[in-house]
Amino acid sequence: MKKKGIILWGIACMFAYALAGCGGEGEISPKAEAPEESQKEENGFVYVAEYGELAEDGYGVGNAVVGEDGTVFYTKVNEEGTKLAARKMDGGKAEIPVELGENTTIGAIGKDTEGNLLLGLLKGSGSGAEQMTENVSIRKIKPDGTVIEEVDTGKALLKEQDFYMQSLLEDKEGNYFICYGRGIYVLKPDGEPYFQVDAGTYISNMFSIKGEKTVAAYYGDRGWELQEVDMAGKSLKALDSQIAFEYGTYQSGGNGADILYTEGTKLYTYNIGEEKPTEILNWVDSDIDSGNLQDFAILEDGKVVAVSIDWSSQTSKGEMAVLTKKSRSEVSEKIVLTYGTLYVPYFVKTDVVAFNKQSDKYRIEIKEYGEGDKDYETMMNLWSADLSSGEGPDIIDMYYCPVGLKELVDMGVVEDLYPYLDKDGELNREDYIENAMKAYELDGKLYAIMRCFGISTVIGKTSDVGSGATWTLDDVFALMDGKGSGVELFEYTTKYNALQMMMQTNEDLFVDEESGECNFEDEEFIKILEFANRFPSEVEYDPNGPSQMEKIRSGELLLLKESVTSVQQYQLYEYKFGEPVNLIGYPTTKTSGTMIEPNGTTAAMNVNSKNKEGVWEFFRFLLEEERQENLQSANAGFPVMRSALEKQFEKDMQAEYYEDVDGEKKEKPKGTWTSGSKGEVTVDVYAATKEQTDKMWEMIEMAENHHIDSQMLEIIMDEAQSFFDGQKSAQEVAALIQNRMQIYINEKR
Amino acid sequence: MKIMKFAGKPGKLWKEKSEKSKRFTKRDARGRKVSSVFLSPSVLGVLVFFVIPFFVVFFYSVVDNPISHQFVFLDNFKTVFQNAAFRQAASNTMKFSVIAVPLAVVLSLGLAMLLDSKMPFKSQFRTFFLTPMMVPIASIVLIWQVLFHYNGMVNDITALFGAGKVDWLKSEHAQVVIIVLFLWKNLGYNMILFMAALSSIPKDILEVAVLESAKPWQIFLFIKIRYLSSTLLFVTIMSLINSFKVFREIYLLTDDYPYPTVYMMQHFMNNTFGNLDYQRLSAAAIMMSIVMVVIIGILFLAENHFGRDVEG
Repeated sequence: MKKKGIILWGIACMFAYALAGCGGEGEISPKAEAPEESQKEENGFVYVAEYGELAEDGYGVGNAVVGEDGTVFYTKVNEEGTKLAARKMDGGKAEIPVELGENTTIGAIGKDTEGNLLLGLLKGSGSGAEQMTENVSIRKIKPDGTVIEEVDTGKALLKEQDFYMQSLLEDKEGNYFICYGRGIYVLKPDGEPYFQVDAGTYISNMFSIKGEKTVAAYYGDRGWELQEVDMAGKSLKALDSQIAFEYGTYQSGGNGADILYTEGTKLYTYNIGEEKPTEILNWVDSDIDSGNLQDFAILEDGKVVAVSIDWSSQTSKGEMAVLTKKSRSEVSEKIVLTYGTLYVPYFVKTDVVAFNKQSDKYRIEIKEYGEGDKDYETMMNLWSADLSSGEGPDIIDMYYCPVGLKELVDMGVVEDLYPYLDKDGELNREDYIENAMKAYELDGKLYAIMRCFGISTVIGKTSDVGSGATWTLDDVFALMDGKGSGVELFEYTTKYNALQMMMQTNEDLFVDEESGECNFEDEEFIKILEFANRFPSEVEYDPNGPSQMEKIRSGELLLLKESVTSVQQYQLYEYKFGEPVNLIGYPTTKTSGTMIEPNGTTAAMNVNSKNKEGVWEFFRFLLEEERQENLQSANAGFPVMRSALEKQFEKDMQAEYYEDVDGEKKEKPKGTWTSGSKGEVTVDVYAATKEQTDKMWEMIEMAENHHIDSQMLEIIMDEAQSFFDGQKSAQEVAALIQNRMQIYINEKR
Repeated sequence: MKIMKFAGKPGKLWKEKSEKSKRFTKRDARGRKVSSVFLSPSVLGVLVFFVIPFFVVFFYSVVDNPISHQFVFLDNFKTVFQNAAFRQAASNTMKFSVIAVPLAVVLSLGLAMLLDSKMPFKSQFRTFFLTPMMVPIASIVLIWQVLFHYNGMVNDITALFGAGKVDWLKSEHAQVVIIVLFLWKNLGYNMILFMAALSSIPKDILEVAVLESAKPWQIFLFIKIRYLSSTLLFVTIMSLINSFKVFREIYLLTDDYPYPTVYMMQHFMNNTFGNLDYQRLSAAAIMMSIVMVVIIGILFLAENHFGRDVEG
């Protein structure tokens, strides 16, 4: 009896031990030992990609489609003009002879239902920024360039100002469909205008279902919508589908399916009437950034051809990938690392794909907890269960992390990265901007790295906000009181927005982490409540009202709260305000009112990862000079490497010149900024001045790290309501907040 | 007792007994096997859902965190015990239980006695007191919010008499509101239990007591209370457990972090679970269960002492 009892207790203890997930130090559980093995069982195959550049150096790729046999047809553009070219699956490239008249360019490439190409030809007049389209024609050619027919639409499609051709296709009846962004023109086979449909918003994709239905995909009033062009009703009508679609890239499914589409990182096929789509592959597994996909097709032999254009690169770089389904055993194995995130930010996809392509030893697979239609609580539970069981991802995303850094550290989940950085032969702590690194530092330990960052700040005219480094709420009250009643401090800001904004900067003023005491009855907090109360309870966007810049210039709007990610953005603000501006930050009694925010891949290492070396490989890939100096686009943020940022600013200051028609040397704009919902502000940005880049340095060096505690904010918002409603005084509300907050702070200690 | 029948034939008895015992042993063994098969799902259920989780909780309470599993002995208990929020929660919960449980027992017993007497509209009253049991908790909370909100009915009524507004749920009055809510929700159920127990008191004893000129308070104290002792214990334990579960109502009324006087143990546990602080949660749960076991043990001892002469 005694023996039996001992055995039973033993079994119970073993169960408990197993359920508690304790494998002991150094022991490897079967699941954790070989993630590739478990993957193999679930997924015995993988799509192996072969890549090929589309255009030679010096050319940008404008448009690309995948033909029936997998050949990619694309336009390559340089200063001399536009050419049509093809790249076959075997890698062979050829230029397709297309006769283009004077000032004529290929606006878009499309396909008919018989494997021929459609070229949308735009004839322009004038030059440079003043160029205008004056004629539109559609030319149908065979893949070898032989012209089948050409229809001239004349000026019939030029009713829209700034007409541009986004895509075109032909249905079985021979009707042409031309997507021009917000709508679709339908032309009869002879080129005569048939009708026009307006989506009221930007159409992301136009595609055909077996040449019978033409569908527009866009983000409309009811979320992501697929609308069919109703030929009888001459309008758009909802596509009769059993499933709901999400944001993605939608294409014709060719002969195999009705629709072929990419949602998140995955490729699906779908047939109308079916209850669910079929998942084909995960683009990230084949090292393809689904955000850049231009066109893709599944061929009859099962191969997938994808063409992507990296619009963020200096010359829009085009790449063709041929994906072949292979057994995993045929593919050389790499050590698999998992990147766990609630949602996949676009820059994570880009970085992971770039890392996978260059690493011979490791490959990263993304585990998206929010995949599918999961509510926040479900994905949060999955995420926390994974982490607390010790089976979490090797790399923990910090951009969409559901808990604060301190909670993660308290859980014991994240590894200190300073020892890795200090041990690294090439990277040095001193090479990185100190306060940017401190954004994820706690008690002298670095728990996460971020590739690049932005600065959240407040911008105003120097004549309004002064030229100081910070300002207080008293200064803001003085500014507000000195202006008329119709003057807005911030645009579209409610009481809650204002309170949140102030707490984000000033929360730590009222909480002493050391002693665990809080002081929300402080005069400064009461001022914050009073400041927030000056804003309206609700704001309504007026589409017919003056633009932001008009309001600023007329003095109706005083300040902008922005996340600054480049010197060009600062140049835009100078233009908007029309006079010297100061990046003064949010009002505070502290030394800085500006905040560092991650603007690129930001991640931590799981302390339980079995491949910490691999995780560090990924982190150093993000931190090393080459990656830091090539943040792809101007608005990607400031690199954390000091020398990379210096080089970036040097580049920003270098003027570029061109010769105009009269042979006169003129400065070439470095880019064009468009701002405002209606694109009302378009600014050509030229080389920055030393003074402008110095301002950026000042702003960056002053910026501090701020983490808002969502629970604290919730308590404050909850209690502030009665003050905003005029039922309680600010002092009464502050006392209530103090009481509730003290419990929260005590509980966390 | 049955053995006494064979007292006159001891030799035969011994023989029959040993033959029977052999038969019984075989039958018993088979019976044990069969019963263990039937029992195994329940045993497994108890093992998986109660015993093992208890050990898991215990394990978590003595490690530094669920990831590294470093043994820290009683550090988590020490940290939790020294935590100001935990102390506040424990003190509030104790205060609440000390006030609400005796009230719930005494008032429900009083109501049961009242309904046990010959009074008119008995069944209507019984239904009235049972109604809160049928109302879903979310609706109860909604009613309470309508009543006790800053802009609620109670303040509207007091305003008619010139009184100022009271923030019932966010002031020192909050615990009073919660006690009233607890009583309103639990009195009906307790009352039914007492009514059932009262009806099972042997009538002849009560009649004898009346014939012996016993006064009503003597009948209540020396007969009824003694016969009700096991029900009293049960009702007290149930009320105590329910008093620990009052968090549900408070949570729905006032959220994760309420006014300090209604911050209960369950708040502390729920919030530490939300913060993924499993080690502190486990330590707090074990401490709370120890307190519960001690209280229930004391109640059992009391019941054994006072009700021992009326048991079966």
